[in-house]
Amino acid sequence: MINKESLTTRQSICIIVLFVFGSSAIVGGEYGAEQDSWIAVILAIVMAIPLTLMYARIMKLYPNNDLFDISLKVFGNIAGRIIILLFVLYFILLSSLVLRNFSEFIQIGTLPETPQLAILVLFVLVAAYISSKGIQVLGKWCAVALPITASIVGMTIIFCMPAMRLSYIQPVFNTDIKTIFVVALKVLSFPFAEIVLFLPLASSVRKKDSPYKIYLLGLIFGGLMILASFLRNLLVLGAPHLKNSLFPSYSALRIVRIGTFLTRLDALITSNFYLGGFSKISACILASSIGVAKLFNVKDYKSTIIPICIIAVTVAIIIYRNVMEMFTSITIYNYYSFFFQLILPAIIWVGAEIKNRKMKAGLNPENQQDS
Amino acid sequence: MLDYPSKEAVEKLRAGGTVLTEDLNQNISLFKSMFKNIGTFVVREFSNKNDARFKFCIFYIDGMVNSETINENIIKPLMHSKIQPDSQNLLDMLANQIILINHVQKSGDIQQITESLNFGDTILFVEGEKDALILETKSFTLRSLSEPSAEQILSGPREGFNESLLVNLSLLRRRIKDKDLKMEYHSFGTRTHTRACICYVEGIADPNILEELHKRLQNVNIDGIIDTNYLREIIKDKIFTPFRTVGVSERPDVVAAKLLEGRIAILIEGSPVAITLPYLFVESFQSNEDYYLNFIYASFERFIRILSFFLTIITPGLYICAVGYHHDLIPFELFLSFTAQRSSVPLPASIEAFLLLIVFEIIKEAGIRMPSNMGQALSIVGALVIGQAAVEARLVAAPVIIVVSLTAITNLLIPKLRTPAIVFRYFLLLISSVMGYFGFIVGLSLILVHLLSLRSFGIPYLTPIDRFSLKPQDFKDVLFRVPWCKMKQRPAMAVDKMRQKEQGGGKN
Amino acid sequence: MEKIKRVAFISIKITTILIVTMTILLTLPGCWNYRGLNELETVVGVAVDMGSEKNTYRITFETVEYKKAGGTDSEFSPKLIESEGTTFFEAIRKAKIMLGNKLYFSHMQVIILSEQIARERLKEVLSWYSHDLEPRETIYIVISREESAAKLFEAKPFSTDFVSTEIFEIIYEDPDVYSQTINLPAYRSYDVLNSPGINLTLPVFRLVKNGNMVMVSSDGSAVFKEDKLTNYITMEDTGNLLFVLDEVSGGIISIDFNKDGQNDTSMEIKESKTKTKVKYDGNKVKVKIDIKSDVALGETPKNFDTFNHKEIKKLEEEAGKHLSGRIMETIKKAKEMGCDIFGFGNSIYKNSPKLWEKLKDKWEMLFKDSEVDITVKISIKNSGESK
Repeated sequence: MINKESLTTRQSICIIVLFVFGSSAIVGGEYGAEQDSWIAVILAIVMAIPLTLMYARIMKLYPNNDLFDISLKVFGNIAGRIIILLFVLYFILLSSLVLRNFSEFIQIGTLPETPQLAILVLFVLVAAYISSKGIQVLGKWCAVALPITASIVGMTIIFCMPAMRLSYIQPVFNTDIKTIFVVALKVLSFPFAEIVLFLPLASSVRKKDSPYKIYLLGLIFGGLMILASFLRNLLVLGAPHLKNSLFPSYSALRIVRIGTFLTRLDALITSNFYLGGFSKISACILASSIGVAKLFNVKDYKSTIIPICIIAVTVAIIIYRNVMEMFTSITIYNYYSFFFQLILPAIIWVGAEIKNRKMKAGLNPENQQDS
Repeated sequence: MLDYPSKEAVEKLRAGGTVLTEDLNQNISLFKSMFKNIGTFVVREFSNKNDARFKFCIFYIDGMVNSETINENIIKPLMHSKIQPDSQNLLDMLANQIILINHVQKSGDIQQITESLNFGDTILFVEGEKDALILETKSFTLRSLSEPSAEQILSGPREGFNESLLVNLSLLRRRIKDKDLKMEYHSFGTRTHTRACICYVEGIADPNILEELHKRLQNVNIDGIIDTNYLREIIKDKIFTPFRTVGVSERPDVVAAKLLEGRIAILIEGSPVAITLPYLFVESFQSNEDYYLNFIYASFERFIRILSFFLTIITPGLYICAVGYHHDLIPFELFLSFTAQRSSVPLPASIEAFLLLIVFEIIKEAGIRMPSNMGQALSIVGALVIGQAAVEARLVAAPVIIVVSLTAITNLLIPKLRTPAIVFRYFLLLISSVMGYFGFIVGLSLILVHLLSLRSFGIPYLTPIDRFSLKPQDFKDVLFRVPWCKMKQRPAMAVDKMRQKEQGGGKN
Repeated sequence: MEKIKRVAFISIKITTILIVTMTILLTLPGCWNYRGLNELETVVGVAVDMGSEKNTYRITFETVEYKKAGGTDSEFSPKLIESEGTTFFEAIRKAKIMLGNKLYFSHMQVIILSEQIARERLKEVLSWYSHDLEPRETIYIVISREESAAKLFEAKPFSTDFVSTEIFEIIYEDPDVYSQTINLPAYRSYDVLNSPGINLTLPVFRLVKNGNMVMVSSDGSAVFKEDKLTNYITMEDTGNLLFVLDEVSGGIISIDFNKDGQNDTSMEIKESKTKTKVKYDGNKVKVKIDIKSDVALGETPKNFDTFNHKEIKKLEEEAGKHLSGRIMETIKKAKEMGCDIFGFGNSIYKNSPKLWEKLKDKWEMLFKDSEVDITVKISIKNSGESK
């Protein structure tokens, strides 16, 4: 047909923003620095910028190739495949984590008696449907979901304004720099640096779009949205409540009361969660499917979607025993995700740069080819 | 119904060595045997008054021809005039100088001759000539032009297509008197040989889509095309979807407007319904009336239509969410009155809503099929008695009635989206009954993704909405109808060329 | 052609199987979480008392009874259910053995605590409240001055259908009307409890006889040290407390202008703003409170010329003196109790947390010795005379 799978800049940015914002709608609360967590968030955004520049550079060196193609090209067949395998494992794990996050929230907050399996299946159903239709549909979905999500965030901030107390942000800078830094690292690895996940989808970005713009705008906008919702929660609830609450955005919105009629607005937040969740999980599953397809030389990744979904659901069920474990294990996640978010891409980047120099110098007759 | 000589019979005749000869009598007996059991087939032999050597024979099918034309323009001149054969071929001379018919064609192909006979033309055989002349004498009774009942408007043109292809094409031609309005003839249906016409404005329509259309039309392999819907189902994109990807209309003004936007229309002989392609989601909310009325009013109406579509899909599902799962979303007083009304009702809310929706569909269908003199009684019965009595008898709760009525009324506002409305309404109702608000959002998301992935002839179905661009040019005609002086460009969707309308609107 | 037919047939088969499976799955086990409205016992308010045995709670639930069901008019009335249990949650679940429907808390409006519970068990109540997602964050926690919390439910609700709704509306509307009730939703109580340098105050309710009806009435506040109830303060003290906390948006000031022993002037507060500055100069805490109120005249003394600017100014000064005197009294009372209900400590914490670290252990002492300076500026914006 007339269609070719390509993403516009706007769609790519929307994917990244929703990816960053999607999961943190769940957490949204403080990460250990109490009322100074917003400083940690800003710090994390700043720390994420060099990381994203690195990702963008990888994309720029090999336009129209996704992460897996690049690994194969840079490191050859065997080493490249090992790298692909590592990434695929990470992405599948990420899918399960996010799935578990969301199904826990739904089960605790809204549907207590429903078994988590049912919720997981429905989630994965939407994700599989979006993935099977291709990257472009994912881009369009995010392009539709982002304005809705962003305007809900804006609306909720406006609604919450009467209930906000500016004094809740005090005392400012009470926590020491070390704690803030540690918290910033936590925020960095979840969710900001997870935008490494856009690299597998990068093959659909058109050559003329600038990857730097995509990544930076996506990161900053997503970070701003997280910052905005965190500040809203803090100013409405106060630091102690924020610390002990499982789902602070949800609690914050239950307090809102406009006039006598507009009282129970938690549906807005839950819609936000769901939309963000679908985007993030679809992106994860799509990236995993593409990876598995490249790994086993399957031509069309659509056939790998269902097996990946089943694996992700299974892992999601067995990975934690209860909600508390889920929340505390984010610390452990920081450590091993560091490997995938920083080290592996750095290796690829270095390799790509070397290859690029060699090509430029004309020493190596391997020229870039279109994939 | 005419009994068409089967292909095998014709083949047999041909194979049997029977073919048109120069002997008039042989030709006559050939045709008589072909049309043996056809009572309306008429054979008229005559010869020229002045020179009896010129023997003629005309064939026609009674009821499909204009007798006066035959008498005055064919028989009379052939009988009375002086025929002086000269260097020209006899048939050519007859056609050029004697026969007073506006459309004459010479043919030696039996297939073509029989086809024309069945269409209402008269065939003239002359002694000594192998070929025949096909003379245009079509005349059959047609329905007069009237406004189609399904597409009525408040003010504007009231012509609708009728069953004759030529009449319909003339309606279009009168509206777009441009030399670039192209009309390509095709013929479909192995038995019906239905004539169809593809209309488009060259230079506005996208040639890629045209090519794709031609490719798909080659797959039409059916024995009969009675209505354009047959064609529609064969050429549309092969995705399983309740949404229309090919539009229909019975109004020439609508089709003409769409042609000017770059779409392609197909009309067939025998059906007043024209199909337009590609068809996009936003067109379901547009009505030609929007352009005939004040733009503020039209914009408001359009907004109401869009709202109705959403309401008709989400209302039952949302009601079930509020009443069955998330009771804390309802304000306190409302909650109390809902509960009070539900406390004595036997069925759970989702079953109730489902049943009442089905009952409403039954009433609606009955309303379409019943004879009009029973109309009043049934509407009273349906609305008042069933609704009111059911509440009084405590079979259903009052809020459900309101929900169902709202759904039904908003359903009537969007005639072009009836199928998707039904499918999605029940789907959302079902999934909300099982999984509450989460299921509802899942259902909505699935619908949205489905819409996003749909294409009509290669154009994404949700253009221009899915671009979400803030460029005014893209959504000037979606949410509201901008006055003509502001619409400088054609919608970018189906169109590639000619984005500038000729300085539209003028200075005002 | 044949291959296409076969593929189509198989796909139809698969689809049918899927549909049948889903139908079975969805209908047989049932919808897990679906609760029709008629299966809920809506709890509007909860009263917590100590149980008859040691270490048990006796909880009284005020639920909704529907008198006339369906159709046009339905009436609601409260009905009470009692249940006892060793823990909060146990008592709630135990109520089910007497009820057809399960208790539903999402529309709960208030939690009433008896004095004894407030003295000893506030934390446990809050623990239940924070673990269960059904009750909302905007409920009010209220102390009952009667012999038990449940006794409040014996009142007749006057303008709403339930006592709990009555209490809720009283507290919610009071800041604009009389301004002598603490309006502290549960989520803010939680915040106050866990913030350093401020003591929790919760509204107190009791029964009053009005004609031949018994009604609930707000009656001052209860002061807590940490999470234990220690003292009560009167309604007037509560009003003054609200002034210091900058939560006044209405109310009446009545003064005796002519000094003849009887209040003859009343002013309606339209807007009020309080600025509090807390400083520590090394050994004493110095507090400066600035109150600015815009009022409208309600009643004026005899022979008062409202258009005489000097008189107006005198009235303003008199009112200001009266108000600051009242507030000083309340602050004195609080100092005697040793409870920083005004949040002076919290103010220090918010502005200079390091200073608070040093002071927090001796804060009670510092609070008692603190010097408070109040300035009240009243501006009469409106004479209120229409005739």
